[in-house]
Amino acid sequence: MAVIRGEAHKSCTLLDSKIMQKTSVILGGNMPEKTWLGGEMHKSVLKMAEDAREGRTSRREFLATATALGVTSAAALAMIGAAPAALADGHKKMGGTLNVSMIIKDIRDPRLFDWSEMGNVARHVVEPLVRWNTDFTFSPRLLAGWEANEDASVYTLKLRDGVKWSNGDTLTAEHIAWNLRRWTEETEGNSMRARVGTLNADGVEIVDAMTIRLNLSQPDITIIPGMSDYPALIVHPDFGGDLKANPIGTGPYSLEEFEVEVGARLVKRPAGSWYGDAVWGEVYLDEIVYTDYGNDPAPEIAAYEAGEVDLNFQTAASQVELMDDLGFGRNEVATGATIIARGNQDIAPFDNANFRRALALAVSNEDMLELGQAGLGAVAENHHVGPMHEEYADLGEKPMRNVEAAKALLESEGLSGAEITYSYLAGGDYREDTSVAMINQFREAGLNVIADGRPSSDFWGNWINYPFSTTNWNGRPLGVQILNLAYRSGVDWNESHYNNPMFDQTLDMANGLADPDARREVMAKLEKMMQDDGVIIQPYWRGIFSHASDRVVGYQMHQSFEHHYETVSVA
Amino acid sequence: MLTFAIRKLIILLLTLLVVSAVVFVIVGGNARALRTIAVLELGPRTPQTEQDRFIQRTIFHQCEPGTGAEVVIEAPDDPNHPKGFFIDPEKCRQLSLAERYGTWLFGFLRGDWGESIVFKKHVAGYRGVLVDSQGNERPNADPWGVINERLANTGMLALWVFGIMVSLGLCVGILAGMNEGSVRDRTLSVVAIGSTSMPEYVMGILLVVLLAGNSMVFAALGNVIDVLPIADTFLGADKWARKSPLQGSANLDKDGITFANTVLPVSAVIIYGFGYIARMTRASMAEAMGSQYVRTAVLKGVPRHQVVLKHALRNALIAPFTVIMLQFPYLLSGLVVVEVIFSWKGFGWALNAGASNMDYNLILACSVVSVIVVLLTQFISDVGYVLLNPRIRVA
Amino acid sequence: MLANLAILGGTIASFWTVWATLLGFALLLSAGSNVINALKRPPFNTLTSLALILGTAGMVFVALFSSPKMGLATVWALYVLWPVFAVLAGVMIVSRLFKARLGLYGRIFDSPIGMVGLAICFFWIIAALMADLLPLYGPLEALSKNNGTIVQGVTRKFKLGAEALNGLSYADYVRLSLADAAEYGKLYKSNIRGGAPLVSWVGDEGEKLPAILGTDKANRDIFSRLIYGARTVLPLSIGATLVSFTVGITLGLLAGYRGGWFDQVITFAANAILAFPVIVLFYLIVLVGKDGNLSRILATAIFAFPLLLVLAGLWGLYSVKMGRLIAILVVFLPIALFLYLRNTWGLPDLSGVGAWVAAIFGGGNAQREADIAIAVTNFAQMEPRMLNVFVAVAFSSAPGAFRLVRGLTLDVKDRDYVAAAQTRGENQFYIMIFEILPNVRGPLMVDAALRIGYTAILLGTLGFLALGLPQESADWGSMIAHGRGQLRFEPQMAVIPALCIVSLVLGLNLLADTLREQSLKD
Repeated sequence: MAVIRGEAHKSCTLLDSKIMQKTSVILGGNMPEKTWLGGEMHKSVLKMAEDAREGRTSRREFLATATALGVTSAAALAMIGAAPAALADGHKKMGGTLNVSMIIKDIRDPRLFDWSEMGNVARHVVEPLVRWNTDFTFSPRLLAGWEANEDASVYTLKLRDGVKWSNGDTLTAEHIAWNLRRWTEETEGNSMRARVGTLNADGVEIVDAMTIRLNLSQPDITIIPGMSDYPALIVHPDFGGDLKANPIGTGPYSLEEFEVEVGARLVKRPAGSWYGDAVWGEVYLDEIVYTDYGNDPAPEIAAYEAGEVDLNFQTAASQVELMDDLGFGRNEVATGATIIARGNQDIAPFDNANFRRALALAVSNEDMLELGQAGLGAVAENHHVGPMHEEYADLGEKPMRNVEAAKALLESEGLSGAEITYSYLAGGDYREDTSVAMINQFREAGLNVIADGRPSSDFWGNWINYPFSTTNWNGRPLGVQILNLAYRSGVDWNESHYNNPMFDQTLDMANGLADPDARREVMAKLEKMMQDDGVIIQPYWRGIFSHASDRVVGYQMHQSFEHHYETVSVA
Repeated sequence: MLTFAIRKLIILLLTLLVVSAVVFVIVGGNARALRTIAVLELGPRTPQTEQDRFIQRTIFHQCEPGTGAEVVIEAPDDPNHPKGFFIDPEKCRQLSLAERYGTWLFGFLRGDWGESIVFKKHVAGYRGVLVDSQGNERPNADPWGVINERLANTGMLALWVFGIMVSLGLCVGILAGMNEGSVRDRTLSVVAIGSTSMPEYVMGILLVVLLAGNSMVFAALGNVIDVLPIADTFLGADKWARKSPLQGSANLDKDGITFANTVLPVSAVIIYGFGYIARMTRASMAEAMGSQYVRTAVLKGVPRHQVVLKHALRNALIAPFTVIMLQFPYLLSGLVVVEVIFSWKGFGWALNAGASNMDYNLILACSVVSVIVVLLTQFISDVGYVLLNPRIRVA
Repeated sequence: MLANLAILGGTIASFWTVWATLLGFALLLSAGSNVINALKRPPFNTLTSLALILGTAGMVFVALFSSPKMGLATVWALYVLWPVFAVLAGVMIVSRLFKARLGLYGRIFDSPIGMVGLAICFFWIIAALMADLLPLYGPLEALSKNNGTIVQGVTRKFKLGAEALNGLSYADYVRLSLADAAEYGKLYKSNIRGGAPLVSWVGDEGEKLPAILGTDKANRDIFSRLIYGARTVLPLSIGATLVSFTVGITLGLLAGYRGGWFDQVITFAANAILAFPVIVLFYLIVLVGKDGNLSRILATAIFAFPLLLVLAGLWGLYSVKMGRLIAILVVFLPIALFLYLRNTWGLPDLSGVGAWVAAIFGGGNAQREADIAIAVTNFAQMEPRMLNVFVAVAFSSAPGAFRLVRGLTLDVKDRDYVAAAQTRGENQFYIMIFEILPNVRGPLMVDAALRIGYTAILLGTLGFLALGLPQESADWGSMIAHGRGQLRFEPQMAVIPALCIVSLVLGLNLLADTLREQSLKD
């Protein structure tokens, strides 16, 4: 919740008209279509485009923000001088079945989804309003487009024409409004509530049959990205609370079979019955079959070898090289996904900053990357902000391992050989491997570590309160976003129980700075504070991978594991 | 005979009652289980307070009818209270363990085995109404529950395993026991001892390395065939794929049971299990061959194969029969391991998934079902022993 | 160049020698005691020959697709373990020399199969005892890149998948493998600093060998973990079997000797436990009952039996010499109760004592103080997760032992010597423990040997399914589970721990078979 507010706060100051005037010259008249609805381009976009062109901010960041404000992806790409990726359609042919290996979890109600895997099955049946593309732009799906007002506090959503539900109904603004209001409910497990935090039920206003206006309680530029996330799928008001029992949808596929932990089968709707044929083109695949091979990689690899599987959800880092060797094509995305180790600062001895610093000194981040992630990623710097964030400040000196210094520091605090219990998720993946490697390095510094590996079902029950543990974090577009989410005093997900008023104040300041350059200066202070207080050990940013057999044509891995198969065909 | 069978049946039912009660106490009274379930239902990073609320109101509470405990709050003033279905814990009474067991047992007898938390469907095929954590009632869409479905898959595996294992074990045992102390006997005995030293998980691993997919043996065969002069003449350049036709994981829902996905799991269980049967049969056969009536028959000049088939075999098979039936608990254990290795979606696989997620209804049902299976085989073994053995007469 | 060639030559030679030896063993075993006789026998036994052919074919196959590096690894393993083999040879030779005086144990040496079984069991016992003396890495010691020992995954390039070999002829394949071996040799040289003479390593710090079988995902030496794994597997399986036998003996003797309602109740309970497939029992005790007090309650019940058995024995012996009994109890009871309470409820809590001892003996060194405090706090106490597993395993095999002892007791309780003791007016505990028990020891020993093997298998299952054993424990089952993901890449990670389990259980089974044969001769 805190993030979203911080985010909104920032966007107020984004809109500096002077900067806009300065840069408006850059945009010639030859733009393809500036916004989805043909209206004016949001003003802050121009300044950001300049930053991106000149390398001050990441292009990815620019594309995400600009399209979230209603600029078309083509226009956004043109503004930073990039050409839209052309699709090679040469080898594609209609028909065929795609076999995918993925964990299958219950898909009762999209707004309750808490795993990307759930969204992947449901997304072919029920669709989102907006899609986050693999080129990091946002494009409308069930919407025809959207517009934000000056301070991004009022959004106008236009519906796409002629969208039909599989039961024959026409999609109307009523349906969308019903969904949006459902997202704002405080029901247990409703994960959309936090994603549309600035929206209240009475803020949803039906303008006409095809138009909805969202009146936000605060300015918020994350509302559209929130609507593209995996739980944000639009269901029919009559779906009755259980999607798998009553899969009415607007998508190109119908759900034929579904069983939790076993598999799902999606079949293409009869020709001509899907509205998207005219908009997006007909989908190639006749059938998509998801099979659950469990968390253990061995059966999945065996299935690949037997030709039972064409594509997987994710390849564990330790398996990447093997899958390459077996001749499967690697898909790779660099994201802000990472793993951190933190002490709970409410519990001794982690309340001692020197002790925490000694822990960080005892660990070599390079070794962790090598052992935990097979070297597939980038070394991080113990402050949870990285080069993928526009406000990342390079502090120069990288954290280095120095066991002697660590020992000396422990000695001076009288904490040599202290006993710590290290909890981690023991699922045989990078989390376990990294934790075990870190435990070994702690031991080399003389600490007595009790390794407390827990299965997934056990680990998450109490993850906030372990004395010491490793946790994985998914990437967020902005550096301040993650700091707000996890390190501000007293927020829900502050697992390090970091409580530093100074840090909070500085963070507030950063939230208010739209200009990445200005924010970078503040960020340097925040990063330094994180390091000096030894809040976390963040060994590396991990790359994410999947593999496809040579049958699969046109698949591109999505940065947040979403499966989109419109462009995919099988040979 | 009838009284004997009835007495055995009564003991069986009594055992079942005791066992289910003990399992219920272990599974049902477990605090961690509730936490796990809350995490499973609400998602991994749900705040603790929300989990607590879920635990407090969902599980094992009996709300007095008519007290208005089931309140549906539409628009609460208190932001801490969720909208929608909500039970006021103040007006609920927590059931004692005995009451809960009674409720469960009553439901179990009616065929209502509760809903599986992991699989999100009914544990057994019960046609009734399900109530989910949101309080929505919905008809049980799939009358084919977790257990029945999974047992069918395991049944097929067990059938293959049992058929081959028993016949192989008996044959080897009889061949070995016919001439005790001979070279053949020693060879087969060592094979049998070796086989009982190779548990399913070892065999599963070895078989996958050696025989499945891009396996070592097939790669080596490819190498051998490459250097042989026949390679070009008979096989052509690309005839030998170097890839095994056997699979290291089974996709039952797509392919059903095929040669490719069944051979390895079945072999893994058989290799461990058959040795024991063979050794028991051998001992029993050796004893029979040394008995008075067989010696008499040999002295009378009856041909050897007739002696073996007519005189020795019948008596020699009584002991292995009981042994085979008592092998069932071990067979079930082995099947669990093999199903996990080969992702064979049967009973053992479901048990593994249920147990690691504290799916109490499923664990209870699996325990009780496996105990029923074992007790029934023991019952058959007891009754069969009496029927087969002419020396025992039971009133 | 020359050195590399020498290494290669030696490797290949040793590789084939090892396999030839194994082949020889296989022939010996499969044909009983005398291969030549078997082959000379007139109707050449089809089954024997089939077994021989299949066995040989299997060996040849394994030999063909293993690289010479595996051969090198074998040589290293033999070299590292030579003290174990030396002690083993010593024990075997001494036992063989004095076999006439060694009773049933001595008679094992009458059977070659028994000797093989015994040698395998001794090998693991000696290896477990000597692990600290061998030039091994610690079971939890990670080889770090930074301290210059070894880079992870020496065997990473050791691929056996057909895909990796596609397009290669066999000759190419051999050439590649040889290149691997040469690299391995270089690594060896860089690790043994200054070309120290190979015999001087014992006790010489820093002169450890390269990771013979490579390292696991946490960069721990697999070979060292295998040897240390015996330290987890053997005590757990032997200990759990012994405890389950004391339970079985105590209850079985009582039930068999006394009969009546006690017998009926205990038999019913035993049958009920036996009706559980073992794995279901494990799920219940280890996984579900983990955080409750289930394992402590079970431990309280199970660990009481060794105590009760000894008390009953003492009572049987000294019930008429009260003074003696009290004197023994004064010494015995406090120690026994202390151990019992420590391992059930963790009482008394020694953390205070730990701090006190650490303050005295720590010498002001914080590191040492902390280590001492932890050592004292955990004194004479099984690690809680180990306790969990121990209890589960002992609990599941106790009913089997009970049924065996009860049956045997029923069999012998009407014998003359029992009747004689009864007429003498002996205490009933004396009769049970000192008259009946020694006379049924043969079958009990056979069953114990089998059951230790079976328990080792169960432990492997627990490790394999990640049930209960600590995550980083070096037991073989866990190692199989950890190596399973790398099966196509580094098969040795899972296959060799698997072979360790197989060898131990095979040894025990062969031993049990011989014990049975030899005790039947009585």
